[in-house]
Amino acid sequence: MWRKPNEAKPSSPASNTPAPAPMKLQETPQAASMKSPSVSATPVVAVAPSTPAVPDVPVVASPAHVSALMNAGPSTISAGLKIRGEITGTSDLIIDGDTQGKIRLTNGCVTVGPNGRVTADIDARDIVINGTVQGNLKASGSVRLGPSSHVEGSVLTPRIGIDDGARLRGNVEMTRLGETPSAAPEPAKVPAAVRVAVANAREE
Amino acid sequence: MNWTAKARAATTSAVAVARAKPGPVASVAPNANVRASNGLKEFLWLISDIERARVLDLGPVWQSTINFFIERGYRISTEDLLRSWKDFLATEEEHLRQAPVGEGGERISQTALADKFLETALQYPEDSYHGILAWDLFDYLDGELLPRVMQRLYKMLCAGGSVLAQFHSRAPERFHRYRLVDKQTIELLPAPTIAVHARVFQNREILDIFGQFRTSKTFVGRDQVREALFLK
Repeated sequence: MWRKPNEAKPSSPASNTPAPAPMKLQETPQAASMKSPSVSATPVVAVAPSTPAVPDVPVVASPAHVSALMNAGPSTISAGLKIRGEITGTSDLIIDGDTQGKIRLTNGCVTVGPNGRVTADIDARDIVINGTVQGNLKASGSVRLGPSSHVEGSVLTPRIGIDDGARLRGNVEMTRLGETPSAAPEPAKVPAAVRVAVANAREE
Repeated sequence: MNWTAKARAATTSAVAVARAKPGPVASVAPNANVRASNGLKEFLWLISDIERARVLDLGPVWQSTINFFIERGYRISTEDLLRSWKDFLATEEEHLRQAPVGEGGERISQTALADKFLETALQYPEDSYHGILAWDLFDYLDGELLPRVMQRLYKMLCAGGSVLAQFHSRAPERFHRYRLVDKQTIELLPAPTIAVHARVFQNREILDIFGQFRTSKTFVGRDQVREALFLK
């Protein structure tokens, strides 16, 4: 009488397979923000996929696949990386690391991320700065200085956008849209010693 | 250049000017903190005859200020001198803190600090600019740095160039940064204090600071802020 009748359980593919080992999912910031503070945190367990595991077989990429991968998006210099030298090309570039030298992507967009530190002149179609740059910016399209940007150098571009909080030490000069900017204009930085020497020469 | 030598447009009347431009209320947010600036109007008039005049803004960079000068064909440079000074002091303090005990621990004079700061700040050739917007910068510089900065600014200015500065008549209640709204209006933007107001200058002291300059003109606003325009 008190015996609970055997109910038909909902069939699931996982029920027929051995129970998988619990696997914690990494919590994303979005997920964390969605949580109510009153709700206690419970471990999230991922259910193993029902499909059988694919055996490890080395995959040989076709040339077309490699080409598609290479054209998939911008190249990235991640935080923690340091690069010295000249960077040229046509694709877009995101810099979140430390870069010194020269950057010339005439048909690309150069984005310096919040962690990016660039000591180089940047010549590109579009330039977006959210980090620190010591060098001149030359763009044939536009330059955008984000709120956390800190630029020491001249800006030569047909269009400029400056967010509140941006820091710029240098001059801004506008060119015509599509025009290849010429060399950065004055005022050039003159070392103090040189200025003193010139002043002394004038006095003499 | 001086004020007597440069002829003003005879047709410009107060009514005509008022009709020609939308005015501060129309061009900024209704709750914006703006002030009419006769000093700015005069400053712009002085550089208006110079083709592609070069202007240096010693405040933070703002889109509206950049646009204002670019649209008029000027070349504009910015250098937030007060923030640079603050960053410099913070760096020096950090160096001292990290220095081993007994090494570099001696007290550094304000004079040495000022000289060291100007080795990297305001590095422009002589006669580079036709106009410099200093805002209320001089109120915040200490006694050692101020004359050195003035000396440097004087060298950077072309002959006939002008400096526009503001001086508070009493210590300001809060720290502001400034940007241009139109050719006669400045917007005051409340900002976190990055420097303590050093002192209130008397008129005589202001004239002494700008002693090298040829002529000066002072405007007093309703808010008791004195605007001083000095010509090299």
